[in-house]
Amino acid sequence: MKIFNTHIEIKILNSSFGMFAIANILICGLSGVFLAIPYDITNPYESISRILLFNPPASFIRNIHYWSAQLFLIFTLLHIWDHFKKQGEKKVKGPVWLRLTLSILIVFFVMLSGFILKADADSMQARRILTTLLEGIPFIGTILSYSFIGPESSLQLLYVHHIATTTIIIFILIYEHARNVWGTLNAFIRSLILLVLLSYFISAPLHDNLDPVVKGPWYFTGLQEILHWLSRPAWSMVIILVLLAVTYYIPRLNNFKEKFAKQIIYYSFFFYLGLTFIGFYLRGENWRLIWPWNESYLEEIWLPTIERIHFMDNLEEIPKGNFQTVFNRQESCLLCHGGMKGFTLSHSPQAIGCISCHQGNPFALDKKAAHHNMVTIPGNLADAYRSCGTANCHPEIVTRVNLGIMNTASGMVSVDKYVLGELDHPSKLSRIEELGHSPADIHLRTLCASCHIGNTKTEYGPAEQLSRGGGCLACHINYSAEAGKELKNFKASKNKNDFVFNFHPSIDLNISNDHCFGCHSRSGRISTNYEGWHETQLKKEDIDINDKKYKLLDDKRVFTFIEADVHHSKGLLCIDCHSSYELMGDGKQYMHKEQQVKISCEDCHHKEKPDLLTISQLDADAQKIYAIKKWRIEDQKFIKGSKSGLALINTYVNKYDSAFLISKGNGSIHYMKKQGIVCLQDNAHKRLGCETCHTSWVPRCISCHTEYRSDEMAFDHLSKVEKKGKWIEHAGNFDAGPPTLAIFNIDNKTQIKTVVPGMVLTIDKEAGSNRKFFKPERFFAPASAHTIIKPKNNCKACHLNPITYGYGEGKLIYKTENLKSTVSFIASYENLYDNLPADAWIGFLMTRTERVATRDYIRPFNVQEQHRILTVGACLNCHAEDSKVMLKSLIDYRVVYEARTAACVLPFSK
Amino acid sequence: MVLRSKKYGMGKKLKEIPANLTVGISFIEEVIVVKESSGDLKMFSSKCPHLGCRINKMDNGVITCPCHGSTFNTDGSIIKGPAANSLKELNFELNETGNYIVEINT
Repeated sequence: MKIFNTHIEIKILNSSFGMFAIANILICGLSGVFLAIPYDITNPYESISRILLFNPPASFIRNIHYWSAQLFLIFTLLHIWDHFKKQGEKKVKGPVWLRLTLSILIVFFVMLSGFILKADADSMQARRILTTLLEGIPFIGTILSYSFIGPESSLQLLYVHHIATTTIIIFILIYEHARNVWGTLNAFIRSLILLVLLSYFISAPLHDNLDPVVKGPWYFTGLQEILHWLSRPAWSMVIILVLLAVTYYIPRLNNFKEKFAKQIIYYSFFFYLGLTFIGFYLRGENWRLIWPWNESYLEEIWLPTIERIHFMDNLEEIPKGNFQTVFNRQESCLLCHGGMKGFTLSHSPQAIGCISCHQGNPFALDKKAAHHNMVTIPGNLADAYRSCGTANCHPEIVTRVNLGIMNTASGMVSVDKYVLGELDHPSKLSRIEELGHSPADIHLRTLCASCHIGNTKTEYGPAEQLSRGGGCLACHINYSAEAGKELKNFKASKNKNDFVFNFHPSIDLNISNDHCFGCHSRSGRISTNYEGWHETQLKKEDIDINDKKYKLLDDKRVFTFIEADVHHSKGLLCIDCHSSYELMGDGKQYMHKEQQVKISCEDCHHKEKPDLLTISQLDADAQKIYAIKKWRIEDQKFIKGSKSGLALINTYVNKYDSAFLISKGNGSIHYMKKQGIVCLQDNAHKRLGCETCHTSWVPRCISCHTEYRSDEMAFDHLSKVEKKGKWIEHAGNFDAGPPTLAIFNIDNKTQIKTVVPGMVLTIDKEAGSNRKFFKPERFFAPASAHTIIKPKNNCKACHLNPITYGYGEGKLIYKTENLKSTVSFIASYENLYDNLPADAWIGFLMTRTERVATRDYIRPFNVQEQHRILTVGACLNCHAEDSKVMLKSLIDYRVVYEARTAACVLPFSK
Repeated sequence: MVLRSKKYGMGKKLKEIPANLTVGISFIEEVIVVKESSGDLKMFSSKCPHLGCRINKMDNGVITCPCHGSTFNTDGSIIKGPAANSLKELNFELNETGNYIVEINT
């Protein structure tokens, strides 16, 4: 069949396209009458969801209505094409031809109005687009919009136009040009058979209002493509008007011009068809092009699902009480999962439905269809924006978490690359998912990358010692005893596909330290430090498992007990100090963890009177959490965090200005002592951070060797496959000891804080090859060890401890001879390649300025500072710590120094 | 809730926004609220300047129109079209109940 040059009257089974179009519009109109009975224009979306779930006959009628409408449009277009080819337009009178030309607009309007009347997310966006296009017409746009679409708050006018105005006009136009409104029996019966088959097996679509892919009806996806090109979409109306004008003038054109005009129409049509295909089958979320071989293709593109109408199922047995309207719809999930227990009130099916988290098809009654595109473990960051992060739920939180350092692992990435020589400095905003394949990237991928919350949770179960990642579930999932028992049964079950769960894990705020333990028992070991456990190099067989001095972790590491943090001893959880804006981020990207941390010791252990906030000053999330926790303190005033400016919602201050903390775990109340007189009056130690005196011990790791073997295989925690390139770490020595102190210079303010030997190591990037690339490094790192105690440490513990200065473990020896005082140092560890003891940061009475720390703003004491601190050490050799002289020196050291007698011989000249 | 107020002039559509929103971006029907950690607040119309679609999502930290993919910064400025204009910034003020009243349609 030639397309352009042959006059052929096309008939299908003895009926023309026009007759099939009439047959389908008749069936559409008739089905529309019946559909109007269960359809509720005041609650359209909910009424359709009820039809789909509880009214199979109405659902069938809806499908008939939908498919007959689509076939009506297709046959109408084919009918126009058919008559263009046989020059049928020349047989029609001018005014009739004008009305027929305009009827193309009316046909599309009736189709689009039907699409909008289902009132799902696609429909509402389509309505907004149509309104904007109409309002863009000069002078009459607003009137047109109001007359055809009506006010934004109601679909009533559109409904009237759909069922009455446009339907009547279409039938008038059909009669006017065809002198026939009934079509042929042949076309009617054949259309009906096809529609019954289609409608029985394929349901008309309804958007679940959660799927982020928003698309118009298939016949307008081509127009969407055109609108995407036009930053002034009004031009699309001009294009449509031009095509209509060309169509109208075709009968008046001579042969050549007529053919040319028709070719414009034909080519435009095929071009539009191509755009329709692209728009419908190749456009995914956020207007991205998506190809059939992409992993998420089936999630983002609507393909009809074969699911028959369940006429004979006894739906009266379904306990309707299970069904609540959630976000204007009802969901079929509870048909099978109605008895499930274990939810919190805020995350129960009655509150948010099931598909808010698990997706799937809420309108399907068949298991396979209902589970189509279902997410069994929602909350991973890769898809959290479709579950936890939708506009109805926690969109701002998911954005914050995505940018937060527990996901980006920015510091871990930049410091690692700096130490391995791939960055000039350790402070660069980085994201762990963006790692490449350099040696440092492989080091991170294979040894570190499992510890970021973007890591996907792939198995059911609570957060345990070996758990990594999980997005929102890293913190917020908890298994009850029953849920845990059922999970064990599931894992042991041989037929997991048919296993029906009765208990669901809860999504709640009960974030025990177990959630933090897995990742934070690594690196700085703050989880284990907090409980008083220090890692050893012992193996399981080296210890008595019943000896309470040891703890064996699930990954077989052996820890020994040193001393617990006082906050742990009091029963405080990690989250009692570390709030949501720290853990979930505040929307900003930070290079290092200490920048994201909001809490400081002084917030709770204040000097005089803390700044306070009232309940009305809490933000919405804090108010929700406060309401859930049910703390009822009369006239509660919260401490205002000094760094964040936000309320610490588990605190309160009474009328005597005494501050209390309420443990988020068990609600126990703890008095928070104010800072002692020592802290308040001590001018000599003004620059010292609280942890310099209050840290009991820190883990000190030194002398490890790490080598890279490019030919060996290792597991890549980001891509989850074995790949070539393996880093092997040979542990050196690690013990528990006092911290080293360092100068922190941030925003032109200096403070003295604790550091630990972070990366004192040798690196061989070409192990196993003939070349040697051996690189020693000696970095110290900031550490908040989480081993806080009431200091029993005395002055000598710092001033006479060489570890404090960064000299390493050993002995400081003061000698006074012949009115001269000297200090010397004997190291415990042997010198390494750089002539420094293995655990040292700097040499005795020396300093280092380059590549010394994992932060740009940290440095060791310079020589003058060492002199001053050592001088006080010299004083302590003669004067007791609590002597008048030493106590006075805390208030004004300079005065005391100047007032010393001739008997007082101190090292270092003035 | 959309209000029509004599105080603000008939024909003006108003919306009440709670004052205690969390820091970050909140999508509240016709309004996008951007609240900084400093407490600074900006409100924008969620109507995409391209074709009026309601913007109700972020994608990789940028405000994204779900219809044709236009993207905007959190200050409302346009990053990528087809929209030709930035998000319309809305006027708002605190009312006597302590919530914000924002004018969503002029």
